[in-house]
Amino acid sequence: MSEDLKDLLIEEAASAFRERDSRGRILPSPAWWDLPAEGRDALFTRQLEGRLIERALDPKGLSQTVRAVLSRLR
Amino acid sequence: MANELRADLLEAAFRLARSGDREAFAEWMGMVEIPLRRSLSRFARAVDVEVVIQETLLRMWLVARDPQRSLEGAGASLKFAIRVGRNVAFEEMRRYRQERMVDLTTLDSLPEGRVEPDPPDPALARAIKECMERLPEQPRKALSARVHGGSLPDRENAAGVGMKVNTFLQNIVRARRLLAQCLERRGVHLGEILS
Repeated sequence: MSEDLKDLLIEEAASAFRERDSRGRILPSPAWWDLPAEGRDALFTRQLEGRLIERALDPKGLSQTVRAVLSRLR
Repeated sequence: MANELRADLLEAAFRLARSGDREAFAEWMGMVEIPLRRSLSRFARAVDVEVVIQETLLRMWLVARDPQRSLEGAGASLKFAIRVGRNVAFEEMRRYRQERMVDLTTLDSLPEGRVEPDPPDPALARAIKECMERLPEQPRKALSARVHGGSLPDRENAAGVGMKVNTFLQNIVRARRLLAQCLERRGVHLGEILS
């Protein structure tokens, strides 16, 4: 896998958006399945950095993960 | 901020969440998300950690709303969330048969690690904002769309800034690289902050 393709897959999976199945179960990003082991390590770091940046730029200091969960609370 | 004060703020937010206060629960999630994520680093090859985090936070909302449950002690809610997170990670691994990706013996014996809550840092936020403003237009537009709409599908965020999904992702990759370089020139190393 080329570095460019790996970078795009990591970026795709770094999003906080996750599909749900018909029972409401949260599904892994399709890009996550395509990543090799070291790409998944890199994704972990990018997700951490990404949430820190989102928190810094959000008026209420919330990451997109927190916003995704808030939209699902019952 | 001292660790004891952070722990007090954390438990105060969780107590308020017990009465159904969603803003307090959002504040609590904001303080636990980073330490919870860090605690799952060894699972990164075997599970999509984003799934584990979101499922764990949703389960913690149910814990908060359950009058039968009571979490006592300093940082109790974070410690409990870390245990729930680990259980969810094992469930995900088994569901998708990914156990071969990690050493299960090592995972079972892992210590809990750092359990201090992690509230947002205003100085870091300022540096990130200033570096974002210096990015070239297209990468800034893409990263900004992701940062503010990250819980939406990328096809929606990309369409919102008039880009194809692939171009949108390429621009975010470039933006992150430039942002990291700008922060490093200011002495801010995200990797060190998160380690």
